[in-house]
Amino acid sequence: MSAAAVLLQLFACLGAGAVVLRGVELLDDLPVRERLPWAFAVGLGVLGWLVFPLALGGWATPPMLTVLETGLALGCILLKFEARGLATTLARSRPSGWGATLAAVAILVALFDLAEALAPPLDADSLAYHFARVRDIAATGRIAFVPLAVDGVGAFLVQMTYLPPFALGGEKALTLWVMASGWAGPLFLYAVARRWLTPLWSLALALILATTPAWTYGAGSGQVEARLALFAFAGLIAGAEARVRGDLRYAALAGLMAGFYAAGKFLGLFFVVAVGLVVILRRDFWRPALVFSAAALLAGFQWYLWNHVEAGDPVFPGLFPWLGVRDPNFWNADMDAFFRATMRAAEQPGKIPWLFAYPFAASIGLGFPIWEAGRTGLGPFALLAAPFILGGLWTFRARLSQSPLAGVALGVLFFYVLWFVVGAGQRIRHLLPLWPAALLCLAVVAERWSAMIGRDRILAAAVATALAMQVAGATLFALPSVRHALSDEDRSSFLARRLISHAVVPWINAHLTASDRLLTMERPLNYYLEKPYLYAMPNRLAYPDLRDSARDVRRQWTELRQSGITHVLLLPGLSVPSPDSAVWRLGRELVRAGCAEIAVSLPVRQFLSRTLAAHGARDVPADILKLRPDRCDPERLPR
Amino acid sequence: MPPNRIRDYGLAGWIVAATALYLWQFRDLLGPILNAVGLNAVGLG
Repeated sequence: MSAAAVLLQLFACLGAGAVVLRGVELLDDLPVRERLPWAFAVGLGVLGWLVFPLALGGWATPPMLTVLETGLALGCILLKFEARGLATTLARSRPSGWGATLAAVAILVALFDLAEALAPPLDADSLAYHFARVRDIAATGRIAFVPLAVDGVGAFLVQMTYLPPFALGGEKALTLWVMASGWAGPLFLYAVARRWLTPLWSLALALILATTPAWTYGAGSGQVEARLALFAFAGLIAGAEARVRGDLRYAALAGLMAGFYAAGKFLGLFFVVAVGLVVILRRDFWRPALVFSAAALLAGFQWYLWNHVEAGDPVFPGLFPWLGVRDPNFWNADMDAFFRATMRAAEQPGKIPWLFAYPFAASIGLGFPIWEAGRTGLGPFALLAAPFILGGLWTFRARLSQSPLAGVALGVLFFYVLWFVVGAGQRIRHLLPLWPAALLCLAVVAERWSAMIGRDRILAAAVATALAMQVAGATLFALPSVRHALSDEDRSSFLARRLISHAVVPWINAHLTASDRLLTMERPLNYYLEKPYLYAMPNRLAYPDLRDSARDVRRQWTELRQSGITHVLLLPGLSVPSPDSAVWRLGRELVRAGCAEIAVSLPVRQFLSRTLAAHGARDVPADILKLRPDRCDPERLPR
Repeated sequence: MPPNRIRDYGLAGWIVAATALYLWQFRDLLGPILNAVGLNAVGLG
């Protein structure tokens, strides 16, 4: 069933993409080997776009999703000859020794991904909202507005594409789908790189992408970046074509893809501007600009309109100082100031001198830990190939602007500057959607220069070294999943061993009822909680007020009661003094006043890295408090 | 030494230096990495 749901969605994406590409009269213009990946990238956006109104209307039920996907899959009829051609090419291919080696590495990496897909999901962001939101929508067929900054209010087109596999095939279909859609990026890069590079170089490039640390980390999870990379890559290639040819069909396609990116993450708005600038870099710019803008608006408007209707701010809480908020219980000026201060402190954005040093510093782990260079960086390829890239840029400087890749490179550069100067922070993985396009530009210029000086082998050594390091990293990342796949370990033992703080989940699911509601700040547990909960990150919702500065416990008690909270998860528990934490203080005061009691204390395992589980591992006691309004005299609570 | 030879040595030297520079950021993780791949049992972790 899981495999069938994944296959249905694969064909739905290909079919939807083929129909749109035929609609803008580009399907037959594309090189044959590129048609399938183009169709998939476009179709993924179309699918996410169509599922959203279904979920809004409460119609995202298994029968409706099956009808939708079956209808879209019919579009595959337009691709039948491409599929046949692809099969023939594969059957005829006789790879060289190096080609066979790279193909073997690709198969190994694919097996790693499969092992990850067959294990229960572990990524914190995915469990906090990418997958948890999808599970909630699948339960009712309807998407509900979640009044929570960042995790709750955003642009969620990619998550809409997670809904059909989950609704039709369950969790296994969902994890298999993120695995399969994670492979689409490297395949797309391979197909398009063949315009400039040999099959061997193109395969090496695809492998560099597939083993890039940030890709390894996110592609097989619910993280959206590896999916957004399809939109970004297609948008940049189409935008560059529109710039060179002045072809309105490509302007429309670039607009659609940029719009899909914006519908998948607020950062995509920068991408719309970046590709828009590429498209209008022509003397006769106004018609391409109009077509691009209309297509981007059509593809991207949905989520911003919904956010505006529900929250009063299309990019909530980005425009709060100017637009305010619809429900003052959800957000207020105090909370907004706190949110901005905590985000600034955590993300450490925009130090302009870093604009130039960032690519180098972020490669070797200098700069701020929040960039996450080693864990989710872009890998060593650009650093190792730097002399070839710089040599090529200098040698070919007079011809660069004539290359079709110039538009692609400009788009990447525009996005980078916007992201750096205006964005909220500089986590490297947020650049991942642009990485396939950047890799292509860097690889082509490096390869051309190495060929010119007759030193292909030295560049090949750089590529092989980068790949070896990345494959080693991917192996390390995959080891726990591979061990799980090869053992008879059951789901609960795996989660107990690998998921941070998981030990409280079985107790909560067994002892709380459907009329209870748990207050939790442990985001990786959301997806596994089967009972109602309120995930309350203190800087992301104003009510109940759980900021560390909050001292009015009597007011917090009222807010908890009005939010329907019956239990509170305290981590660490009351036996570990943590007076700086508002939630811990709240728990202590509630217990002291008899307004709550410790229902259970459990030791939970915490660690710094799920790949290196022993790193910084420690056991911490967690308490689950049961509120006792029947015994509580709120007058005894401090204010 | 011919200029081409100097350039080649320079390129190869860069690859070695850049590899070391890249790997240096993981120096604190050597123990946990050896542990994760099961080499702690032979005293390397």
